[in-house]
Amino acid sequence: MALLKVTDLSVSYGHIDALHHVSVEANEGEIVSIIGSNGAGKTTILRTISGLVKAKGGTIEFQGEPVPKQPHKIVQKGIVHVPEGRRTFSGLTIRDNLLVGGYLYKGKELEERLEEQYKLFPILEERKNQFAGTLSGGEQQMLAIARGLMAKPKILLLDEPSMGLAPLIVNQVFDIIRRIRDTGVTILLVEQNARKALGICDKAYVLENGRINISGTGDELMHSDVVRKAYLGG
Amino acid sequence: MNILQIVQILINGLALGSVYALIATGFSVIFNVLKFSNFSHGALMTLSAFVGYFLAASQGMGLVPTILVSMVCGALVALLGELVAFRRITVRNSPNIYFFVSSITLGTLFEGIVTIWVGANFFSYPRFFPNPTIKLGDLTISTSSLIMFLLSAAALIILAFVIQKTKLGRALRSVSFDRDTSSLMGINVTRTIQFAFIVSGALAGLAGVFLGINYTLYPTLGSLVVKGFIASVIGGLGSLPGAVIGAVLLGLVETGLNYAGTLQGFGTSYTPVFTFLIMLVFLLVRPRGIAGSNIQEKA
Repeated sequence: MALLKVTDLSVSYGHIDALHHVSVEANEGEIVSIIGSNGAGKTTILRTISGLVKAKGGTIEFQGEPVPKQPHKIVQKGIVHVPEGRRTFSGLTIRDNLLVGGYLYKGKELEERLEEQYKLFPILEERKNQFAGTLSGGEQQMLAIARGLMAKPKILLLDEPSMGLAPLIVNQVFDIIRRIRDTGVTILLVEQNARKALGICDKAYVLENGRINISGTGDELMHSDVVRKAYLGG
Repeated sequence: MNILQIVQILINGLALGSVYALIATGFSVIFNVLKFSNFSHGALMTLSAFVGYFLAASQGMGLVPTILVSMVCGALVALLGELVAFRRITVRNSPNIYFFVSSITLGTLFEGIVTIWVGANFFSYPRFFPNPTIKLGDLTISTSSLIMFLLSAAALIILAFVIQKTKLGRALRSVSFDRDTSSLMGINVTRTIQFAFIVSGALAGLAGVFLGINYTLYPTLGSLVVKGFIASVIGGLGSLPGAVIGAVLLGLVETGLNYAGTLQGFGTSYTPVFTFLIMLVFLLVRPRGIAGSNIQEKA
């Protein structure tokens, strides 16, 4: 059974339709990528799953049950969304950013989760008392991911983790994503960097103008002519 | 002017400044979270102070019950105000101007309620302290100033602790930065905003009682919220430590100017002119205030 099952999802902003009958599935332990160009609706899918945007139609099921309506209740179910553009709390220290991420936990468990993140991202421990706004883009992305992991996700929704980062840093981010998957967390990845996203995933969807036109395994799409022409530069 | 007088001015200035600090922080908590100036704050102070007067002080109860009644009243009314006047605006992410209009309307409503209830009369709290002054060597300190200073300082220290060190405080700070992202961390944003209103309302209640003790109780007492506003501008709008610094400075400057004015024979009527001038200078020269820093996000 799919861990996350999005069926026939439609979303509109006023009169503008952002998503038309989009269906996406993620099984436990998979990395699932959604690729597409600017404005295709990638971010909208994630924002709808995490409850920030209301759907016009369709269903979202998690572990066989419909997801709650309010974002904070969705997080309690284990769906954690790392938003586009990182959105770290710039005026809070790194430690406080992480503690906010672990809002649902307290006491010893919270400390343990903090230690786990410091182990995965040593740079964050070195700078734990610095304001998040002083970090570089790559470090902020690490912080955003670590902050998401604090909430103990069953599935992690990542929105453009490579955005605005140097190629070397992008590689680091994707390594981290693999390592997170290896700890048993399912990943739904939304990316413009199609090559990277297809290289890492078990399954991928191509979103165009709010519709899913093509789907398949990462390899299949990497070798599909249409995808190569449109997203991989020939 | 000898040392004794300077110390006297400092003490009185601190006492006055600490009350301003209560006003300024109560105002700033809401400014931080919802990014608007809550113009109903002043009227809420008046309303709570009157409720404290009628339910406790005029029934022969002491200072502490009066303060508690006022703080609880402030918190409850602020909570109700949030629900009635601000909730929908927040949920719909409407433009800021709606908050302004709504808060001005709410303030007018509170003031109207008080006026209907008590008329345009003046009331004063009974004398809470058997000895109006305390003598420390050659120094004479008014008991009410001392108590005000101590209680305000205690309230501010508790507030600082809650905001810096507790889970609720962290949630409040993160919601102040970014509501949507905070909700993605499992924070119930509505509850957190309600918490901010409870804190702000309780501070309004406390400040209201102190203003009532310092001056008298009258329906437009809340216009003294302007002092809190000046303090926030000087300290840095939206910064809580800034609000406290600005308020204490304002208290000291006002007390000093009053003293100097009396000495020179113009009385105290020039003091507000100077304090507004100081605020204008700050707005022109350093609009972010003393402690205000805009931490820029790296792209």
